[in-house]
Amino acid sequence: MTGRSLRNVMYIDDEPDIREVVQLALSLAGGLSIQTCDSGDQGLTQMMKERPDLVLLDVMMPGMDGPTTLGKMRADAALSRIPVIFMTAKAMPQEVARFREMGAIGVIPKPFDPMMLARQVFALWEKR
Amino acid sequence: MNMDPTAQTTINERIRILAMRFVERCLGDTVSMRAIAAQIRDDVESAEESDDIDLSPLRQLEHLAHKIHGTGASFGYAALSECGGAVERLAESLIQTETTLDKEACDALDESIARLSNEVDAIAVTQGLK
Repeated sequence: MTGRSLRNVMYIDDEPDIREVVQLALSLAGGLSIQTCDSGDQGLTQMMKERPDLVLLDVMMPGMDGPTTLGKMRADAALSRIPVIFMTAKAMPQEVARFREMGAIGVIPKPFDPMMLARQVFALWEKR
Repeated sequence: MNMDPTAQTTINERIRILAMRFVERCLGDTVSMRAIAAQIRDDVESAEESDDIDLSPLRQLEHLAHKIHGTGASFGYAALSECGGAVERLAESLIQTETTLDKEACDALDESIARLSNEVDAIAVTQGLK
C-alpha cells in the first residue's frame, strides 16, 4: 500500500474505561495522537474537524452502532477513504467476513490484551 | 516497536485502577441482570404464546453481558469474560428464537447469571471491594 505513516487514530466506544485503556495501550507505541469519542455521532462530527488516519470502531453501541457509523463514513466523500478497524466481542469468522464486506480493513477481537493492541493495529494498518 | 518499560509500568498501574472500577460496575450490572431475568421469567409465566413475550429485557441482558464479555479479559479477568460470553450467547439465541423462551430457558438464564455473579463476587472479594 501507500506506506503512509500512522499518526492520528480515533477510537469510538461507548464504554469510558475501555476508551481509556485503548488510549493508554496505543500510547505505548509512541508517536500516535489518539482521539476518543463516546458514540458514532460524536465520532462522525469529530472526524469532519480532525481527519484521523485510522478509526477503531466498537460494534455494539447504543444509538448508532459501529456498522451504521461505518456506512455513514463510506457515504461521505470526505470520510469514505478513512480505514476502519472494528473492535468487537462478536468476532466469529462469519461476522469478521461480514465486517470486511462492509469495508473494514480488519477486526480486532475483544477482549484484547492492552500490551498487544498497538502491534495489532499497526499490523492491520500495514496490510490495508 | 519499542515500548518504554517505565511507561509500561505506569500504564499497568492505571489499568489496575480501571479494572477495579470495572469490577465495581459489574457488581451493579449483575444485580440488574438478576432483576431483568426475574422480569423475563414473569413474562414467560404470564404469556399465553411465546410469540407474545417482549424481547426487550433479553436485549438489555444481552447488552450488559456483551460488555462484560468484551471487557473482562482486557483487565485480566478471563474467566469473567467467559461467564459474560455465556450469558450473552444464551440471550442472543433466545432473541434469535434459536432456543424457545420457556421455563427451562429461564432456568438456564438464571444459572448462567449466577455463575457470572459468583465470578464477579469472587474478584470483588480479592480486590477488597466486598
